[in-house]
Amino acid sequence: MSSPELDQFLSLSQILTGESDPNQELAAQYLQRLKDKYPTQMQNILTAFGKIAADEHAVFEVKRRIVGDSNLQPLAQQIISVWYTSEFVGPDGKTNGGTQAQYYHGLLWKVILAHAPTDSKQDYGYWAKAPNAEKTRKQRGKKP
Amino acid sequence: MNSDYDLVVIGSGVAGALVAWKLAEAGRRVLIIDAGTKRMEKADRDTFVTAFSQALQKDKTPSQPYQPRAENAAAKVLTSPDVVDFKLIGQPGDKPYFIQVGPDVWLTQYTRLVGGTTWSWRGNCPRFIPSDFKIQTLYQQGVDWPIEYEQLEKWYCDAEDALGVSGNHDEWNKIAYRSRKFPMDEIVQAYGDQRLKEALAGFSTDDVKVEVVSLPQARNSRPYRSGDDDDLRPACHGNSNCIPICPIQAKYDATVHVKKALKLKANLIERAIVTDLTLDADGKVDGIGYRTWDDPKERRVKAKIVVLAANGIESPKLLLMSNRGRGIANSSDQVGRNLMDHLGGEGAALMPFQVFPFRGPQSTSCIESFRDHKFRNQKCAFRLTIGNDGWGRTKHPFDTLEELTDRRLFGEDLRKELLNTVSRQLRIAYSTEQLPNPNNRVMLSDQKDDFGIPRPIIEFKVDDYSRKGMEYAEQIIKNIFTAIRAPEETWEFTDLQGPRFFSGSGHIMGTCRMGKDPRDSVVDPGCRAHDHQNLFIVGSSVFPTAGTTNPTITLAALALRAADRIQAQL
Repeated sequence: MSSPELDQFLSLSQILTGESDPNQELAAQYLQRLKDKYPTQMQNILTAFGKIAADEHAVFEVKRRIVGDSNLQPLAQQIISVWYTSEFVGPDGKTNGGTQAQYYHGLLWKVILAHAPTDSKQDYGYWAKAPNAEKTRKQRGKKP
Repeated sequence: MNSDYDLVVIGSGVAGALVAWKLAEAGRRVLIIDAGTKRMEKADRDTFVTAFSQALQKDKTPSQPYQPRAENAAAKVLTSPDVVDFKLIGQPGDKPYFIQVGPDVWLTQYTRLVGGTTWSWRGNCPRFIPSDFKIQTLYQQGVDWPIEYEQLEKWYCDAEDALGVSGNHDEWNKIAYRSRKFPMDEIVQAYGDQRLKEALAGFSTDDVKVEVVSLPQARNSRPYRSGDDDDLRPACHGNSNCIPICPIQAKYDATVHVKKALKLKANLIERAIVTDLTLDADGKVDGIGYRTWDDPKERRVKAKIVVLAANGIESPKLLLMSNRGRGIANSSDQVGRNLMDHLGGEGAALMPFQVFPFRGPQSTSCIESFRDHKFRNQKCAFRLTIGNDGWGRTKHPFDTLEELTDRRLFGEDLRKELLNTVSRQLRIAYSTEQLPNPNNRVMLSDQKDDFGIPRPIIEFKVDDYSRKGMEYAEQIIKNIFTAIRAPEETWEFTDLQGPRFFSGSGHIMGTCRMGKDPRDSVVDPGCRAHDHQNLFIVGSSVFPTAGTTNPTITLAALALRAADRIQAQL
């Protein structure tokens, strides 16, 4: 499934989301969904990232050249959104939704140390204690 | 009368399901007719869960599971009223099922599905308190019920056993006398609720001690079966999705008792709308006319006793439509009047400590200290519920994420700020007591629904007694936020000056009210229609006043009490 384009998207997603090990299968699905709605813009943002991907300070360069670029920033925001929520807003202003697996793997739930609604993997009473960040990370990291 | 059945129950929500179960258990010939479809198996629930998870966040409608819309896309009557109904007539947009004439907008819907709206309730089961039954005597407001708490107490216990309510006996025995313990220990309180409770230890406001107590809920704190058959349901796994759908049925819904009734040889006709109850010369209901989704031809069935258990909108609608449009059970002119809900709102703030929401049931704790406050003669009483779902209606975490990315946060900074913000989001919701007002009512429209029967007109106004109570509730929540040092710049409140100054609670009450005097009530204290000795009405439509708390356990207690009387009458 790997391709230079997918690898590029994975690397950009890693920096934008802060997720150290983004799921490759999901990445392929998200890339396709985004390309379906933003064909030219996705090309542009990946091209822009390609120029800075190998930079020693790639995070800073993403901040300066992509997140700080008024033309590229809106799509960068949608890339973050699809990883965090499984939803993104298309160029027509309409929200594009994901599959059940994509919803359950939304990074938002992992970051807030919770789980997507209807997707508890724990037993009765776990909510009475503060979450264990390490345990939550492992539980949410399973394959879609 | 030559009857097809001993009992026909119209509606399979919790009230109808309980009556059907009890009478089937007694060996009676029971028929249940429901307007919705029968989807009671695990595969059906899984389908709802999948539909929920695939729906856009804005469409994850928080108060109903997912109807099989594709089958009936054009037929609004076959699905539930929903948010498109929350507008006054004359506004552009979708064609609503409700004809809302205002001046305020009725904001509560319900679910047309076998099992009714219990598919999508939160499971909260506090009882009414003794003063709720006599606010006219005590506060010169509303009316008194024709029964008192003590008369219902035994039935409350039976209802808690039937539904499977988890609760803390000692905490709630102080709030209202209890003769029996809850069948299960309380659902353990969420981590954030415990932190809030610690922060509020010893706090009083307006001379009232503010205590955070566990919330009785029809949700299992251990595997539980409602009776001795094989319906063992699991303990809650904290899926954080009680509304709109519990994925594992750890939360009670009325399909539990529909299944029990069917197992006891009751019959069920699904996808059938009852359109007419006819009378014989003695004023008894002698026929039930209904049509199914698939066949417009009217069918009829006879029963010795008819139990109307639709809801506070559909029950009065059917009574007004019956007797070939002349109406029944309405010599008092009270059918459809005194429509009530628990008008709600909320305050939200960032806590000075982490609460970690979206872990566990959507609420596990509450504050009952203002259910009978000292100003109840001037402004309505209220309850407070602690949310375990972040900022609830105020702001979803998806919106928080959007705000942060609008500020161009990304990467590790975004993660840190998202955790820091959402993990401190907490809301306190208020639920207020609305008084009965004869002009708040359900009537029949000349306009027909997609099934060809009249749409309900809803006339609804919120009075100053409610508004003052909502203002008081807001003040108390502000006092709580101040006491725990929640940063004031993070506060958000329902705007009491705005057009949407309240939210609906899904509690449809009062349109077939109970009373001793046939001149001003529809049913007697045992839920039998004053005008027709073989017609019973169950559900929260019989409530003379609303109290402050979720109506389910009270209507379940009344339904079990009515079932006992029906059995005696048969």
